[in-house]
Amino acid sequence: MHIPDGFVSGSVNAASGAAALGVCALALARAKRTLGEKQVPLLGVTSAFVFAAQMVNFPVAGGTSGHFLGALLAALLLGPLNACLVITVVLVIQCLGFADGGVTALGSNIFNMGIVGGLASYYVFRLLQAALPKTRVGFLAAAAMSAWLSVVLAALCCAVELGLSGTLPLKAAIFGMAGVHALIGIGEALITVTVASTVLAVRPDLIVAWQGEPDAALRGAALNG
Amino acid sequence: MDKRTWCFVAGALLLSVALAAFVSPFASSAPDGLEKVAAPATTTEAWTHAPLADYKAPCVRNELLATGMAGAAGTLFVFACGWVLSAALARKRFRKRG
Repeated sequence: MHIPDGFVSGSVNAASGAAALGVCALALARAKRTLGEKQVPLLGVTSAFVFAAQMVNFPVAGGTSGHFLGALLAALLLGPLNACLVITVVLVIQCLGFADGGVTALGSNIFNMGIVGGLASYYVFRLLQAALPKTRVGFLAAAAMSAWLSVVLAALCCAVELGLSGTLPLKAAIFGMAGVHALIGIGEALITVTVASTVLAVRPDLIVAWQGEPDAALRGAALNG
Repeated sequence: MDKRTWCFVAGALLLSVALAAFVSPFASSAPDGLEKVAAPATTTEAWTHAPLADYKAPCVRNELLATGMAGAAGTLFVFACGWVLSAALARKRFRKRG
């Protein structure tokens, strides 16, 4: 879903980029206050895993491929704002180092995959988590559904940007992107659940979404020490 | 930081590097969802200085090897950047507390 150069207009990229920049600034400020000791290497290794897993395109119907996005997984592990930082780091390196995703579309790409795929989808996860049983199965079911949705929502944003930029007719972009990514989202859900259940089995304390908000734990630590 | 966390991080990093080095060369090369949908549109490359464009190490003839090497290098670089960023953000606070 990495938009290349020439697909989105300057104003669309600037508008989505400004929103992304605002969220990233907030994320940086918040990380400064709340990032836990264990989360420092975890943020690095989550970024590395997202980068590596995004390289593995899997075939979906009709001669099309898709790959893992990882924004929701990052949000489960590190919290929604840290997930935006993870995706931003990955996208900037992919863009400048690997020519994957255009420089003139970087703002839109960070917005779609980081803000919509990570941050917004995390709150969908929270809603689902509240509605489902507070068990491992409930947690993983909420993760699966919101992971699927994260890809579809990011694709829809991408479609709207392409439509607004006049690259594609809006209707064709929306139906085309939603259709393909409804399938790619199944892969996203499978990978997210596989990784989340593995981490849940070995180190449940490293999953922020399982443990509760990081600053709550920090406040506890501050009170105790 | 405790030893178990370091082991987890090292294991996860090893797995990520292995994924990029040994699995990604065999990934599907079919166009992705966006490329398929936006096929009629044309790209105008703005950034042509990417050292590992298209996830291929330069001067490596074997395609599988070129992709695996670029992937492994990229994964380690992303890990380093993520760590440096978060360490820089957290550093001030830990110093204050410690």
